[in-house]
Amino acid sequence: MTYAKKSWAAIGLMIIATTAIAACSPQEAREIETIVEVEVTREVEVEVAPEVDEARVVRMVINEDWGGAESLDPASASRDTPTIEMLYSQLIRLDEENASLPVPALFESWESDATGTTWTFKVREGVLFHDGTPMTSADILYTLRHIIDPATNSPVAAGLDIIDGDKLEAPDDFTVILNLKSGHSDLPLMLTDYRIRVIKDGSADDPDSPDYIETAAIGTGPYMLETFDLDAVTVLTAFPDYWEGTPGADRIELLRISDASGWVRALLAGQLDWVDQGKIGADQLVLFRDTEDWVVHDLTTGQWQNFVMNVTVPPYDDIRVRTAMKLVVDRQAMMDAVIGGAGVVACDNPVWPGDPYYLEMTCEQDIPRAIELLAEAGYPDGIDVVLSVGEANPWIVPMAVVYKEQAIEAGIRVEINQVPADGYWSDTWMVLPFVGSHWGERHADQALTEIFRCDVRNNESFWCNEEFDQLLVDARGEIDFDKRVELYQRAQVLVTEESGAINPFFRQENRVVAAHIGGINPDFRTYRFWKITVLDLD
Amino acid sequence: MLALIVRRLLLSVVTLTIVAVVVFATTELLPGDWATAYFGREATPQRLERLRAELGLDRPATERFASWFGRALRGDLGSSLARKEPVLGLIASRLEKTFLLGGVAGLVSIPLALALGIIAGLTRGRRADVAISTISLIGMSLPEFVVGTVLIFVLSITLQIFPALTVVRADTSFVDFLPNIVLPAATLTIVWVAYILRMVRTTMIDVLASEYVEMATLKGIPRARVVLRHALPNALLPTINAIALMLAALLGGVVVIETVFNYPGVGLLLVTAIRNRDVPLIQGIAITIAVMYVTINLVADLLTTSLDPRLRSLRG
Repeated sequence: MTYAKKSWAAIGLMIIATTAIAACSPQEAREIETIVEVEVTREVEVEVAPEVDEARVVRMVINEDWGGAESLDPASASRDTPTIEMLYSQLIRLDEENASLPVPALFESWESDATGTTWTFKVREGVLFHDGTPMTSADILYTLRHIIDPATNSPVAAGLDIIDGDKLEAPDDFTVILNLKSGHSDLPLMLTDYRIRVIKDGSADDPDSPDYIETAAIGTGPYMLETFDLDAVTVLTAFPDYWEGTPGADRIELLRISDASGWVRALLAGQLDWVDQGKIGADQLVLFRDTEDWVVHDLTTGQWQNFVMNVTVPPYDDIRVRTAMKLVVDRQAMMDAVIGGAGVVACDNPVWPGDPYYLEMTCEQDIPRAIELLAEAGYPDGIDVVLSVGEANPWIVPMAVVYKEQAIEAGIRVEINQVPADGYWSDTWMVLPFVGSHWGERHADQALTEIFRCDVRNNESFWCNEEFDQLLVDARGEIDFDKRVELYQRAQVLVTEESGAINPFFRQENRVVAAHIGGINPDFRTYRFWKITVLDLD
Repeated sequence: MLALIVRRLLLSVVTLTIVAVVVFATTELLPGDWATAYFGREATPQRLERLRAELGLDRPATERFASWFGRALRGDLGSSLARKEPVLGLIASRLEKTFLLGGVAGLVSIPLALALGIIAGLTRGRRADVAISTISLIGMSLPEFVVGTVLIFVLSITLQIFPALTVVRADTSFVDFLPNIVLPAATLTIVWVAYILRMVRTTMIDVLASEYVEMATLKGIPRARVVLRHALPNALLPTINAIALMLAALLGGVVVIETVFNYPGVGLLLVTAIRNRDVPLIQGIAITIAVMYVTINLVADLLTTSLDPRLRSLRG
């Protein structure tokens, strides 16, 4: 029996050793935590100049993964969001409470001629770049040229193609004049795109160096770049001379966490303070609702996901078939099933209820009418269709399943063809005749123009209606708001009645924020980064 | 011995070539490429064409593979498409972290597994053995991500002792980095200990039942001496191979573990590379892992051969 005793002693020793090793690190971790807590308190009370260890830090997550191609150029196709939003300022931005209203940022005021073709912008004075130099109209022209330059490959360029790139003018340091190829009364709204952000005029340094913008990363935003890290943590520090005031936090840490379930774990473990963009699924939000440590913001948005029929391919080239395919949808039921009712019913309209041009419509499910239309179109025995969806977004497959169940009532037999998310946009979308798609919120003109106009690349249903295109041109050229509303609303009627898009609902978005983070209004999606701050909860 | 080494090395080259071909062919079979992954739905035919031409992705697959292979033979694994940095450097910096993780896990799990395995073997069928065996069976049947998630739930979320994910600034010192290793290393340890101790236990039982142990016992040698001098060395031999396999499996397992813990090792790099179709990086990592796999097995075989007089005499 001696060997047994010896081995038990060995095990005992091992357990003690392991515990000792484990115990060393936690103590360290606890100590660090305590230091931070204590010093945050002290700092708020006494307001001493913060040093690194007592800084008020907000830890956020990076939204997108470009596999190391992340760029600090706001106009780049692989821009690093939200890093660019903190480093650079916009020309014009959306109002904090009214996400459809353009309000001044680096452009202080603006006016156009009677046709909306020539726009004069007054540039805000006294704005400094992170390197201490003043921002002037030259920087703004440099920025716009950089975006329009085909070599930049910017996704914003297409939207800005109405600006005549050869006729950008800066009569003095604080005036910019833009000449458009055709009138557009809502140009300021177009300029609120989050990727249009002012970079420092680099032509003096090295105009041809494509790396210039990224390595310098000099903007006029509330936070300056300290370290840009493609692997783990990008660190930004407050820019004390920020034009709106001193930023509310001393440091922003932007964490790269590879998968979305990791975000939930990081939040729960207290390693992360903020997850935006609705990236946390509804099933996991319950972990954060009604807790002391976190606040969940429910935000109405214009984000949508849809099914798209190619209107040039039979049977979808028959408008009766398309109408029938739309009539079979019980939108409320679909929304309840797919996102637990957290959204607003949409009647195939890409313009969301928060938009000033939004046209309210009704769209009840009407099975008898759908059957009737199908019979008229030559399908008295119903019709077989293949709906191709990939997990490019988490809602589209459940939506397809619900659609299949609803459509069968009218004799539309839907076969769901599930394809890989990889390569979805090149191999499936706009390739197969009936597919899933999704879009981010955009204002009326952008939504209608970018996705439904005849000649645009994203015209996903291949629908082409000259009257519709003319309405958009007229609306852009119309200075009178009420008349513009009428024109845009007529365009919305055409889209919902004729195009191949079935958009059942707009979804709500959620933001999870640690309770000790302040400076953000829980009811609105738009916020100002410089106002975000660390509260003293004790 | 030398002939054996040479033959094994030649075989390894064949293995690595096959790995390179299979990995390349697989990435070709996946839908989309770096250009479509980069532009996503912003892709236009012109943009794709321009980017592909810029990076040489427009050439036929066979040609791309041939040029990659040619350079790889000279030790140049090319540059990452996304990061525009040499693949070798990227892998080297990440391997450091993966080795650190594997090293810590190995240092804890190998002695622990040996001890537990020997005890289980000696107390076969009795309470200690039943307890150890049952626990190890549980450890073996739980996938790494389950073990990892449970550890995170208990130690990071509930007790908040260790960080759940590794998110550290680039300038973090080694000491400050260490707490981040605890949970992933513990996960690996749990899985490894289970495997290795089962192996040790089985061989221990076999050896204890052998004639020479019986002989030694009959000669009146004390039990402890029988176990330590006669049984243990023989039981350890097959264990070396088991441990080698474990180390090799680490390289596959790290992908899961590093993803769960967001641990910045080579596995996480691989996941990102695959997601973005960064083919040179995928190829580079696959080859590196294959090289290590082959090396570990070679070393283990040589070690067993040199430790075992019977095998040595066969002259490979």
